[in-house]
Amino acid sequence: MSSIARLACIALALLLAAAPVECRTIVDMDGRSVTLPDKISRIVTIGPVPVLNGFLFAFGRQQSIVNGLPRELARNRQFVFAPELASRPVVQSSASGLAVEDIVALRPDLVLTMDRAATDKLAGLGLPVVMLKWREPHDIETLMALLGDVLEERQVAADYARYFEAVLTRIETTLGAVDETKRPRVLYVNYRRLTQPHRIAEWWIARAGGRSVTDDGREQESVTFSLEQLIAWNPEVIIVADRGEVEMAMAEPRLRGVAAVRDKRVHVAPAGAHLWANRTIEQPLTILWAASTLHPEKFSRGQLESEMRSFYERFFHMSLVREQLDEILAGSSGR
Amino acid sequence: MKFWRAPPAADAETHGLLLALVAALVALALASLAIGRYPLSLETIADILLGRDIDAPGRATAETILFLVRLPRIATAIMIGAGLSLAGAAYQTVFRNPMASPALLGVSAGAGFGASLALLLHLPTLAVEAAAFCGGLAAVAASYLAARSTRSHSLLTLVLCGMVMSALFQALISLVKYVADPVDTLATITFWLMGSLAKANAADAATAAAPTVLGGAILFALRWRIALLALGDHEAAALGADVARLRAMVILCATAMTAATVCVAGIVGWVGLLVPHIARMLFGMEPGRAMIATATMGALFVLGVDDVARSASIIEIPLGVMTAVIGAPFFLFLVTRARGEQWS
Repeated sequence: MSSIARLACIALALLLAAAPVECRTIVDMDGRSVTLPDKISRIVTIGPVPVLNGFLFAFGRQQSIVNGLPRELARNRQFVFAPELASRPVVQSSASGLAVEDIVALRPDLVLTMDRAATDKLAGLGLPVVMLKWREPHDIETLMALLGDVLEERQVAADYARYFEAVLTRIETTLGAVDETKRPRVLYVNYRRLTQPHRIAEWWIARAGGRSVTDDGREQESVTFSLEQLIAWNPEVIIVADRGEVEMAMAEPRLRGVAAVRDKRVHVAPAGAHLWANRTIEQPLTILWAASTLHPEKFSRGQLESEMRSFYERFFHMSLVREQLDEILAGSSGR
Repeated sequence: MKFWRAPPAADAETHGLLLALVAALVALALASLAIGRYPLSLETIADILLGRDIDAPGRATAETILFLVRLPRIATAIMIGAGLSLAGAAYQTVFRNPMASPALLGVSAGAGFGASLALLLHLPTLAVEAAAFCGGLAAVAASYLAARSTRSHSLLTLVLCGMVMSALFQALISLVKYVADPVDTLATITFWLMGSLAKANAADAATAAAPTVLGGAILFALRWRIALLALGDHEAAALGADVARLRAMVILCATAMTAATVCVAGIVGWVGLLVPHIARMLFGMEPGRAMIATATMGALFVLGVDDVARSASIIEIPLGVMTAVIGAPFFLFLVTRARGEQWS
């Protein structure tokens, strides 16, 4: 054999040895190119873990998540949807940050994050990090389409997008022309801190036929205000994310004159895979719940429950029993 | 027996100025009743204050706003301002150091640590306040002893030691947060340390008022003897003061006042440093007048800042942020104007 032929053989052998896994490249929501293995079976979620896990639940990927829930979120209802999460190692906490070595030891095929610091840190170690963003309400559709590409489940992403639009349209049609004066003034609030914590609430309140009192076109995610400001807004409906806060607000003597307190319209938002009032895969249900809370004459509780059943069946592949529905609707407690 | 007579030049002029200050505080407090996010006409306020019985719609809400929302908040702001300024002035006299202040001596951080430790152990509110006081006391004692052990006579040594203690107690606060149960305790501690007047009620006003009024009264009663401390330990002792006991008493009062403000409003800096300086510049060293001026100006400053914080926009601006943004540059201005004369 000539030396050239021998060299060619060696080069070919090296090439074959060096490429045991097929790879592909995708572009994430931060515009970064990420090389991913063809088959993704081990996923780590970093940052807002319940939010990210919720996306994966919709792809039926509960089994692929290899990290647990941070301790501060351990009471989360995610265990209903993914009981296996309870035994997974926890690799992050709000106090101590990321346990980088533990994350590497999990050998993830994919790391999902929503913040740049974590992305830079973990991508710097050679991990395949895909950064997701959900700032504007409809980013969820782009986000799901990207995850559809990443997990090669494009039909799920397309199905979710169809569902999302269909629910929005249905609510809009049923609400019909509610004239401006019939739209109740609504405040979504973390009552302990007197903070409206998420901009997305401005969107779902409006879509559900309410007028959010904090909706002044602000850019920042959260806004903190005084008790007097709350009284001045005089909201007709107050929505909180924790059951204890309903009692706190109802018991506050200074709120006695506020319409929502007077009319006992202080509600706790449901909590499923995540708090419905915040960003969550369950957002279509958030709007339907809010619409049924603000306009009970147009949306019955029965309608809401059957929509919940079909949502969790269609996307999480779980049929929920009555108690589970009640538990989700009862919201979170003890935060 | 009085050891120190007010200089005769103290005169009508400063006297008048002092009266004007007190009048300004009363006026601002009254005006503050009319300031806020809830629209209340001056007429409605006058009706309610004068007890005119008019059955207008929204009267109940107006009364709630006036008596349960604005009044407690105004009282709390006044007490915090007066308390921090008096504490600052007391520390400055007792340590004979113009740079001493509740924040710079580490008292605020120490109080924060004491409170977070008590919150970690799920102690009741009163115990949390007591722990804040003990933490503050530990911090000021540590700063003072550390400064003394360096045997340096520079005014900056005490400030440096205070900053070291402040950093140490901040680190201890972080440690407490680190071991706290993230599900419930951590959020409670973080929220408590932040402090806020956004929901200030009568209980908050009372928490701030009790140590401030009591401590202020004791300091006022002892004002002439405390003034002796400024002359130096030997001179004060020679003039008949029990230096050690007097100093302990002043530190106890000042620390109780600081701890109370931390309990209500979180760590609020610059008031205790800035206000006593301005008071001394305007009213001289005569202890009675300086104290009244300090308390009044402190109350005016914090009340004014809080009026802006709660009414400028729908966003509630944290008090500590506002006092720092105004206080820090103003203090620099004072330092540059003094051209280093008293600052070595």
